[in-house]
Amino acid sequence: MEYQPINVLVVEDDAAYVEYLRAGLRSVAGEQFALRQAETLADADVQLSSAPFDLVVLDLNLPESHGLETFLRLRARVSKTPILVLTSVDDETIALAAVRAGAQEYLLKTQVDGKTLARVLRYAVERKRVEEQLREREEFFRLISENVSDLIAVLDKDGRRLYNSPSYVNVLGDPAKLQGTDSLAEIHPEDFPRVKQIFQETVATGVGQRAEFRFLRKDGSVRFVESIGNVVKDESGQTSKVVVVSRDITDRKRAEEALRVVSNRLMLATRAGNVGIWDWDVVQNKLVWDDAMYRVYGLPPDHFRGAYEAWEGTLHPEDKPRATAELQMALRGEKDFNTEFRVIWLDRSVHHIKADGVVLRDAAGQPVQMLGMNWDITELRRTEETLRQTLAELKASHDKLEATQMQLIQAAKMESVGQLAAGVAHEVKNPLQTIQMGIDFVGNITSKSDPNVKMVLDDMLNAVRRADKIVRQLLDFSTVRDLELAPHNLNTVLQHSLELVRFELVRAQIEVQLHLDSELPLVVLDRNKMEQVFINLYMNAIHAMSPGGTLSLHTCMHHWPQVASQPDDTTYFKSGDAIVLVEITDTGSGISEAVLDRVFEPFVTTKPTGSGTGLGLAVTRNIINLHGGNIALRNRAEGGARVTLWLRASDLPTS
Amino acid sequence: MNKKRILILDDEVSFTRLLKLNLEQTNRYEVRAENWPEDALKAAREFKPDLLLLDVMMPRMFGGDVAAQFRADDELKNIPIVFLTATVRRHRVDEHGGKISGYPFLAKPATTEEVIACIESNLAGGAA
Repeated sequence: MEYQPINVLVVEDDAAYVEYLRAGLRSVAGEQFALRQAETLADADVQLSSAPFDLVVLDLNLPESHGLETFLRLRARVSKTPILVLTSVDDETIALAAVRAGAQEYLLKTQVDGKTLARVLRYAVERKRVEEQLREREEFFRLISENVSDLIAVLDKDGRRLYNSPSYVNVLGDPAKLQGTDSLAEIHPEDFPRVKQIFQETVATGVGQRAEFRFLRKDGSVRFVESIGNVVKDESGQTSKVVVVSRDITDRKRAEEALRVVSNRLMLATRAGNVGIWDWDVVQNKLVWDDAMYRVYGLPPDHFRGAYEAWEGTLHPEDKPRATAELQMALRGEKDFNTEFRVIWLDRSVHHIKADGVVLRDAAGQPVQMLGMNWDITELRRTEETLRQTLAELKASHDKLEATQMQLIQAAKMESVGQLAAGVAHEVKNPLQTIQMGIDFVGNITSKSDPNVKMVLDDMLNAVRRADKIVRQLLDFSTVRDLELAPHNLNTVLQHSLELVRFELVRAQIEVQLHLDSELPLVVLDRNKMEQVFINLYMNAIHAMSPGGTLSLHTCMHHWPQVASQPDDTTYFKSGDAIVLVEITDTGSGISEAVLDRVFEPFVTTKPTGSGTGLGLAVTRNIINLHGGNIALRNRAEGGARVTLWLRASDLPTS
Repeated sequence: MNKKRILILDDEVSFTRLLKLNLEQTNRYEVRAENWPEDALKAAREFKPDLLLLDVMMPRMFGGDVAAQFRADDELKNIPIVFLTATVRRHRVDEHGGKISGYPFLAKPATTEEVIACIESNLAGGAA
C-alpha cells in the first residue's frame, strides 16, 4: 500500500486545540495524518472546494452556528466525506443526535488524545472504504438484476415476496407492486399443489429443487416458467429466505408443442403414405431405417443388416447400376439424390420405389451423413400404366368411331340417293319404254331399205339403250347394299373376270402379265360384285391403252402396316391385320391431274361423251368399301395408271 | 289363226297405246289396254284375256295387289300374269331365270320383240 497521508479538515475555531491535536497525532502516527484547520463553516466551505479531504472533524460549537444545525449544514455540504463531531460534555445528546443524522462518530473534547484520535480516524477511513465497496457492489448487483432477462425473486419462508427483479414486469407486472404478495398466488391451479409442495420441501430440507409450472395471469393468458430454488439460511441453520431464479419458457414450450404436432402429423403422413425415413452414417457405413422403411422394402426388421450393402442387395438387378450410380453422384455433390428404382421383396414381388435424400458434409466438404426418404410408388406406376393403356385404347376406339361415323354418313347419303334413284329410275324408264315402243312401231311401218330411216332408228335405239344403262348404273350405285359373301381365292376371280373380257383384250391387242401370289389367303367377298369391279377396271385400262399395251395384274399379302403402298384413308385397318393387295396396272396415258382427285366421284369420266357414264369407278369403290376394303387410283412415274385394292384376308386356311 | 287376247294394265297411257299398236300389227294378238287398276277386274271379265301384262308400280295400287285379286277370282285365277318393272334391273331378272317370286318379269324398257317372246313363253300351253 502506498504511503498516502490522510487529509483531515478540522473545523475548530480554537487554533491551540487544533495544534494540540496535530501534535498528538504526530507523536502516535508520524506523518500519517495531515491536519488543516478551518475556523468557521464558511472557511470550511472554501477549503473543501479547493482540496480533497478524506475526513472532517467538526466542533459543534462554532462562532456562527451551534449544535446540530452546525452538523446539518456541513452534512449538506459534504455528503460523501465522513464527519466526526467534537463536543464538550454538555453537548453529548446533541452529539448523539448528530450521529443519528449521519455523523460517523462523536468525540468528547476533553477525552481526546493522540492515540484515541488516531484510532478513531483510522476507523473512520476504513469504514468509509467499506461503505464505498458496499455501494459499488450494490450498484453492480442492481445493474445485473435490472438487465437480466431471467426472473430473480427472493421469498421469505412463508413464500411472501421480498424482492422481484425488474424482469418480472413481463410476467407478473410491475415488480414494485409485488412486494409482500404471496408468490404462489398466480400459479396455474393445475400446477399449484405440486409447486406448493416443492416450496415447502425446499424450506424444510434446505435443498433447492427444479420445477416447471405455469402462471395464470389476470387476463387469462398463460406463461410457462422453469425455476430453480436456493435456500438462504440464518445463524441457526434454518431456512430464512428462498431465492428463486426462473426463466420464461413460454415461447420454447409453444415451439415444442408445434414441433410435436408437426412431428405427429409427419409420422401419420409417412405411416399412411408408406414413407420411410433412412439415415446413413457414411463414414461408419451404418444405415438406420425407421419402421416405415421396413414396410416399404418388405423386410422384417431382423432381416436388415444396417449397412449400405444391405440396401444394395434389395435392388432389382436391372436398376442396381443406375440407382447406385445416382447415389455416388449425390455423394460427390454432382447431383441431388432424387431417383426411382425397383426393389425385390422377400416374396419375390417387384415394387417401384421413389427415393429422395440430402447429403450432410463436414467442414472439408466430405460427405459424413445422408438422410432421406423412400416411398412405394408401385400402385402409382401401375395406375399410370393402366391409364396409358386405357388412353391408347380410348384413342383407338375414338379413331374407329370416327371411321364408323364417316361410313355411316356415307351410308346415309347412299340411302337417300337410293330412294332418289328408285324414283328417278321409275320416272325415266317408263318414258324410255314408250320411246322404245315408238321406235318399234315406226320401224315396222317405214321402209326398211331407206338407209336414212335405218340410221335414225338405230341412233334412237342406241340412245334408249344408253339412257337405260345410265339409269341401271345409277341404281347399281345407289342400291348395292346386300352382299352375298363367301370365301374366294381372289386370283381365281381376277382370272375369271379376265376371261369375261377376253374378246375386248384381243381386239385391243393388249398383252396380259400375271404376277399372282400362289399362297394368297382367301378373301370373303361377293363374287358377282367383285367380278363387276374387275371387269370395270379392266375395261378402263383397255380404253386407256388401246390399241396395244400391257395390262399387269399383281397380288400379294402383307401384314398392316408393312404394306408397300397405302391408301389415303388408313383407318380401315389395324396393325397386324392380314391384307391382300391387288394391283391392276396399265401402260396408257395415265389420268390427268385435274381429274385424279375426283375420279371416284359419280359422273366424273375421262372418256369421250357416249362411251362412258362416269359411274363405273363410283360403283366400284362402293363395292370395295362395302367389303371393308380400300381402293386408290394413281399415276405411275413410268407412265400409265395403277389401281390398288386393299382387302382384308379371311382367317380361313387357303384351300 | 286364233288371235291371242292380251290385257295390258299400266298407268303410262302412251306406252299402252303404242304397245297395242305394235302387238296388233303382228296380226297375232288382240290387245286391250287399261290404265286404271280399278278397272282391271271388270275389263278382264269382259275381255277374257289369255294373258295379263301387269305394271308393278302404279300410283294408287301395287301390281302385286292386282295379281292377288286375280288369283282370288274363280273366273280369272288361271290367267297367266307377266309383270312389267322399271325398277328391277335387267340382269337381276336374267339371273333368276326371268322370274321373281314365281312370277315372270319383264324389265323396262323392253323391245316389242322381247315382249312378244315373253308372251309366247308364258301363254297357257306355251313353254312356261
